[in-house]
Amino acid sequence: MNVLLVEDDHKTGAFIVRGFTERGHLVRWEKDGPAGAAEARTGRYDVLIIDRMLPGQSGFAIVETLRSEGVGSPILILTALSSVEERVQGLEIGADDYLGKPFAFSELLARVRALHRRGAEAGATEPGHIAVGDLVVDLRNRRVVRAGRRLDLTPQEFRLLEFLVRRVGQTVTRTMLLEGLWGYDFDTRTNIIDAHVSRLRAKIDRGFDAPLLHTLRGVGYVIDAPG
Amino acid sequence: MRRAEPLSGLWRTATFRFAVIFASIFGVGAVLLLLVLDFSIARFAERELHNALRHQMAIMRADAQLEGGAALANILAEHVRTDTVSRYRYLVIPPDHPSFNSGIPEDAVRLRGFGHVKARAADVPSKAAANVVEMLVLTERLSDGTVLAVGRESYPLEDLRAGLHAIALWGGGALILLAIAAGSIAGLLFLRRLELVNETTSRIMEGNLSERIPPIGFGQEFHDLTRNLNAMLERLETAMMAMRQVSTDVAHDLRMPLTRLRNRLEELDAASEAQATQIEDAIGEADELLLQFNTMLRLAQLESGGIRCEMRPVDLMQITERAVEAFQPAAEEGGRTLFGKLEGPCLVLGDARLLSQLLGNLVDNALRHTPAGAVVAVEVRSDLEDVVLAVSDDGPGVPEHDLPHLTLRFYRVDDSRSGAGTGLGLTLAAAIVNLHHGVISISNLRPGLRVEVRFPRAAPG
Repeated sequence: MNVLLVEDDHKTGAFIVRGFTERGHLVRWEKDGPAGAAEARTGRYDVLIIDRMLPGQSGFAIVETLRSEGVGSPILILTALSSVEERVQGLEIGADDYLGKPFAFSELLARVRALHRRGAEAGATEPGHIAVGDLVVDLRNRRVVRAGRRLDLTPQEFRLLEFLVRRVGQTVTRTMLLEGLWGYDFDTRTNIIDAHVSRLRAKIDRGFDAPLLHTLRGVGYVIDAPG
Repeated sequence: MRRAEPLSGLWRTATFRFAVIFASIFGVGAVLLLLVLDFSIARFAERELHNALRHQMAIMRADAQLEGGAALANILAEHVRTDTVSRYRYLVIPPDHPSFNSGIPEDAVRLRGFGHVKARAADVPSKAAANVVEMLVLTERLSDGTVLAVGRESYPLEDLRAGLHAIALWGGGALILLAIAAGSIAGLLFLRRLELVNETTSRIMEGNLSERIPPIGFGQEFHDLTRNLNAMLERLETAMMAMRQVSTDVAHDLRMPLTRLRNRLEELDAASEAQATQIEDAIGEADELLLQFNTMLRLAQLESGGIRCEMRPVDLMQITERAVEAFQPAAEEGGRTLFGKLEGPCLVLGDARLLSQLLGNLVDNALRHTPAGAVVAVEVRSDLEDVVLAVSDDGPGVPEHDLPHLTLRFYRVDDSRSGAGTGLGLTLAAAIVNLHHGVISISNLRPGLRVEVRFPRAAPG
């Protein structure tokens, strides 16, 4: 994955660059708005990570400029001001995702990967079926079959499964699930996600040889074909 | 604020007490005044009458000694005949001559000196209604055996006293009425002003910390009272703000290093399964702290008005339904039953995300402070004016004295419910409710706890 980071804070920048590099991705780091915008226009990047507050030009202004120039790369905005209002504004002007500082690196990575995948799939027709190993999810008729056996899922379970299989092979964090499934921009002490996942797991993995739904400790979940 | 009921609490109102106190003081004063007046006027009138009778007697005695009893009788007869307006009655009994009597009862003859006797009304031209009137008589026996008596009815004195009593009665009554009026006016003057102070302080207690008491005027003391109260409020607000600011700053500043710590933990490679669990636990602890800090920051944003939320009509029933769905599996995993009693739609003017968080906090709170086996009910309905949201459980409830403090920052109930809470869940809930012009109330169900929130109903649109 080829990532462009526009971030003026040295500490945060170095931390992000190190994280992506260690995982085998390419990161280009620009420290101010105009340089970042110029780099973004080259179209070489899979995902742009842009800080909200930059010297020279605000992150929002860059996003607006890029979108008006037809640059379609997925953009994630980083900000210390993660209020609801900011988030809504950011998404309205054309950013694809929004992450408040400070953040866990795993959260950033999961989101950037999701954006990358979404970018790669952009334009592709909506699939009617998604298969993960021997699990087939029929999105149109909301039916799930594993190894030829029909599984009976509640609407809640189906929504969770759909969210996961649309990101097959990618880490999905708890925060992403809270946001994506319930529109919750807050966490609770009661781990509501774990309980939903274990119910789903009981239906799609129990009684089958190879588990598809995996828990990544401290990070989130991933659904993937075995092997 | 506790306000007196219109009738039953009448005695408790200051106005009424003022009036009663004024009236009692004035009433006692009026009675005392009457007694003193009555006593001194009666004495004065009695003395005057005595003196007048003595004077008459002196003339009669002089005449009797100079000219004899018979002559005196003639003089008096002549006098009585010519002077028809005289109020004096005379009696002369000379030893050897017919007696003269112009209306003194015969009993008076036996008297020596002053004495009261009863006279028949017919004897005197009295306007008194009674047949018998009181008469003061002075009787004297001269050395030659002549009996002299002079008397006068005392009814003018009685009339005077009766008149005085009537005046005192009416005057006293009027005085008491005036006193009641004065008391009420004084009471109202005070009360009006105190009411203003009361209303403002209760609004301040509801969390409107920046409000101040309006000038209530009337006098220097009131002016000083409001000035001092406002100065006190100013200090309180500053102190509260400083406290909030400190906690917000701490949360803000600690979030960064804590996130770095969490990231380092994530980077660790576990050598064994046991180590992996330890690392996971440590990450979990860090996440708990981060959640707490985030909650504090959000609370600070809410309370400072830093969040400009999008108020539009939203269906609280849908939001509640979603919350019940979200929490149900977790509740069941913990052995609790969570169900919704939803009647909808229930439109309120609000921010859907904040209302979702409100639901999340209330349900979360109920689930975490009840033992396994508990039943948690989430109820939404609308009545004529309000949309009512209630989360009730059948857990141990909360000691009654803790109830009013549950929405305070970091307030924790000592015993069974303590659990591991942020101490901020209900605080945040209350802040969200406040922002939506709702009212939150917490009560014990015995068993269980009920958190009820009322929002004004919104018109669809």
